[in-house]
Amino acid sequence: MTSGHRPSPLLAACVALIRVVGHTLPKVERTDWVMEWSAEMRGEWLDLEERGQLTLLKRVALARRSLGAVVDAAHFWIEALLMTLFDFRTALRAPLRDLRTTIVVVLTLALSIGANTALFSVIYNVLLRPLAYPEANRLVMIWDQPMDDPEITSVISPRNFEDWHEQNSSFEHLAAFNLWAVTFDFRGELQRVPGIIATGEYFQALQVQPILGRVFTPEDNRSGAEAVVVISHGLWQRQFGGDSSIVGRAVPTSRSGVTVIGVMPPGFRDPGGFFFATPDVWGTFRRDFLGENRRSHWMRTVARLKPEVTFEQAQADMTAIAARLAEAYPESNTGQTVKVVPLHEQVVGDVRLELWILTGAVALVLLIACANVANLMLSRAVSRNQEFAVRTALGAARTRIVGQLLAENVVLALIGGAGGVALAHWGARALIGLAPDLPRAETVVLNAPVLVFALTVTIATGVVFGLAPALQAGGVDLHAALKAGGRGSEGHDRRRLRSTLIVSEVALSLLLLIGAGLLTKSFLELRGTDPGFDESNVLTLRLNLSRGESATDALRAVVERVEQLPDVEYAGAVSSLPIRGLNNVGLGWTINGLETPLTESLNSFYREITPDYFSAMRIPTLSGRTFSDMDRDGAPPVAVVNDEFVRRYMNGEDPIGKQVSSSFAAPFTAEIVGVVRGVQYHNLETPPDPEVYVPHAQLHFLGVMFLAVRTAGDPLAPATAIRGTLRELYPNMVVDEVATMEQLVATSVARPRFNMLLTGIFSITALLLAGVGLYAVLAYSVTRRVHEVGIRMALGASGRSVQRMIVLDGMKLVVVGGALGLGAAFALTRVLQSLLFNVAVTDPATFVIVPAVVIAVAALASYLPARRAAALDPNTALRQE
Amino acid sequence: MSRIQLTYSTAAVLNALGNGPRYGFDIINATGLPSGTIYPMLRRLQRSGIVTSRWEEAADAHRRQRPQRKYYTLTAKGETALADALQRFPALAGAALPDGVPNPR
Repeated sequence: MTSGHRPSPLLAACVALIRVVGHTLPKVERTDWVMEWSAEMRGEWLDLEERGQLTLLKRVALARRSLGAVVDAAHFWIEALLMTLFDFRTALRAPLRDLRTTIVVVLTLALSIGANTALFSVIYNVLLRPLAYPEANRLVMIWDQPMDDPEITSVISPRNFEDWHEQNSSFEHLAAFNLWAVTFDFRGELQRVPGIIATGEYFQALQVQPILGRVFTPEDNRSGAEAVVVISHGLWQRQFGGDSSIVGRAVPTSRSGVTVIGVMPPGFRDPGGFFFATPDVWGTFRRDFLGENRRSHWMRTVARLKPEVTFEQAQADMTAIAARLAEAYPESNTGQTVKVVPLHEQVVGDVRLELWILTGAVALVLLIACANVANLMLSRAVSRNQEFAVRTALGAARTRIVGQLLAENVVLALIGGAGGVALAHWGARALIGLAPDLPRAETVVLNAPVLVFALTVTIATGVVFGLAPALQAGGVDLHAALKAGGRGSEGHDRRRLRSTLIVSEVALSLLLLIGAGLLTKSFLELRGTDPGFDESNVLTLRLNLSRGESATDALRAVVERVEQLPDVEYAGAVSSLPIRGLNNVGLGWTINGLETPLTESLNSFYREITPDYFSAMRIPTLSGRTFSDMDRDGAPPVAVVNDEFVRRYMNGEDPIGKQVSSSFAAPFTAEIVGVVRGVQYHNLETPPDPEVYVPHAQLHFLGVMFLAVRTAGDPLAPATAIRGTLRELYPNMVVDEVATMEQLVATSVARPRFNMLLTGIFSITALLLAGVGLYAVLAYSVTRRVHEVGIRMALGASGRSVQRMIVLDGMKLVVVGGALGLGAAFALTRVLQSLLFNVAVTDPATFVIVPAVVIAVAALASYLPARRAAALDPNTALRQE
Repeated sequence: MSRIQLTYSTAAVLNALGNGPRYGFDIINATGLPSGTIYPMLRRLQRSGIVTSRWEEAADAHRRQRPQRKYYTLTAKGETALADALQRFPALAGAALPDGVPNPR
């Protein structure tokens, strides 16, 4: 167009600017706008040139004028912004027009986003967040492990620990620790404060500094050193009023006294989480307390890797040390190796699978909720077809309508999400309440990462459930929609989309229900197992006796007095209570006169009891006799073994009359006088281990005993009287941890119960959602098909056949979804394997009952709309156009 | 449709178009208003049905050896609006219109 003229760089630049700015304009305006602006620039230039007036001043003025194009374009930008704001205003207003749907949608979303957020707050804080120690990824725990069973990790012996400490080249610090307690004398009131006893490097390994005073040094480990303790921030505040002069002060205890050397920061925790979340006092082992016996195993170990040492190198190092020790001390260390476990794995390894499974379940609920909401929005979109058609006809771009619908959905999702976060706040608390033994449970809060998660899920949800209806609305057939008037119309595609949504909902909820069914059956199996004792009407208490001769007399007096109380049938004491599991001492035994290979030591648990213990727990005697008051100090030493001991070690011989020997604090030998039934000590899943019982009157090495009291009625009724009696007898004896045996058993199955309850809640929610979804779709289709139904009935179809037609429509979807869900269940339930007790992952009963339940619910959901269709009056139906 | 807001600038643009069709830069030259004001105003006037626009014939542009220009013309409604404007801003009626170009058709 401008051929023949030398192109000016300034003009070219101005035109280029116009082109660039043009790209920011709506497509429909762009070509015209760019053409006009560049034509004007060129034309003016040429005019001036022709007239010989193209002075420098004019050129600059013209260039300035081209900047007006940017101002002009800005008007388009402002317009677009206003349009978007308008869409959002519409988006905010639209949900109010159909309030019922909106409430259902928001509630559905709030519940499912809330459940997901609550569970994520647990996942994040328990599994994903690093432990609260500096460079926690370098912390490990070290265990003994039998070579033939890599599943087992066990506590270690002090002598082995000393050798590990000297020989290893992998760890900066290596410390052993165990459960401990100090009975403080707080202004005349004795209080047993739980804590941890550890070797000197414990705090260095964890790298946590005290806020006051100092922690242990190797000097404190010396035999004969002053007894020193470090206390928790909590204890310091509660008992010492936060007084900073506590450091260096001697505090009286039930024995003599201890000196407080330091106070730990608040929130400092026991590394394994084995005993309790927050210990209140830390003491240190004296060298002379560690003993020489390599066969007594009772310590736990925590260590910090040197910065350059990898986890695998440390494991190799420790395996080599274990092999050397096994060679040097064959009688105690043969068949033993060492297992190094990262601390994070140690703390959360047990619950990881369960939590991820629950996450999967709750995510499925969210998917089902999305499908349901998508269905509702589809119905709503259909009735708004005309609105969209009119707007499209008036020139609104499809993208704008799709955008508006998405905006509407995101607004709905945000309202739902806000409700969800509020629910998650309570939900997370409820989850923790349901799972009392969840590690790191105390750290679960709705923190920033959790809120980011909630926001992401919310927006994603809005887009996911909004996408299908929005795209469908974008593809509205203008002609058909306008012609159909307010009735709207539903195309084939849309019906197929609805059916697909329902099929997936049914499939997903069936999958969830089968998972929940398996966990429920497993839980019932677990509760149905016979633990070997009768847990009903038994009250238990922990007694802290002083060691020594007087302990027997004290215990005898306690038992006698308690048995005289009203409502008490029997009272017996035991050193380790079933299910409760403390003081569980495992010893190596020999049976005199029985040939056993040296390497196969007869491992068996050791229990000290008083005569009425078996009666109090109703543990049956299988042969021989149990103990009586005659089995006292000075009488021939006797022992009672359980049936598992006999089965495993007696080679079919009669145990009665055989002598068993072992060594705990001192060697001893006793004659087996009876056999009792084995009881489950660890939990309801683990079968009984071999046990040897001895009369406390003859052997007493343990300072802590548990009293088991069988009552005539409510086991808690005599609790106050029992405590009163004990206080009267021994004012200095600390009595704590009062619980009924039923409570202990319930706590031991808390985790399976948690899994069962949660998957149960999730799957029932899923089923309800799917049922409601199916109902909504069929009810909607009945409304849409009133005219068709009218014609059918006018042509002679009976109400019953119309009803059958609608129900069949629904059931077709259910059968397809059910088949898919069953297939998925067969493929996926194996992840539950390790959580199931006595139930196969393809348990036939579950795979039959669950589909039957789903079909029943679906039939009900289909029947209700079908009945409405059948009750239609053909005349009214036909007129309803 | 809607009544337009009759500012002095609008009145000046209407007055410039009163003598016949003009292209954008011509209106700018005639009124002395900045380009960033004129174009959005022209679009607004078009939407209100006061002004129409059309592209000149390609042959005409070719003959004059310059790019095709877009010409703006007052509609009947525009003529009424101009009358209103002149009543409101009488000074405009006598104003000289510099650099007016001849009607291309």
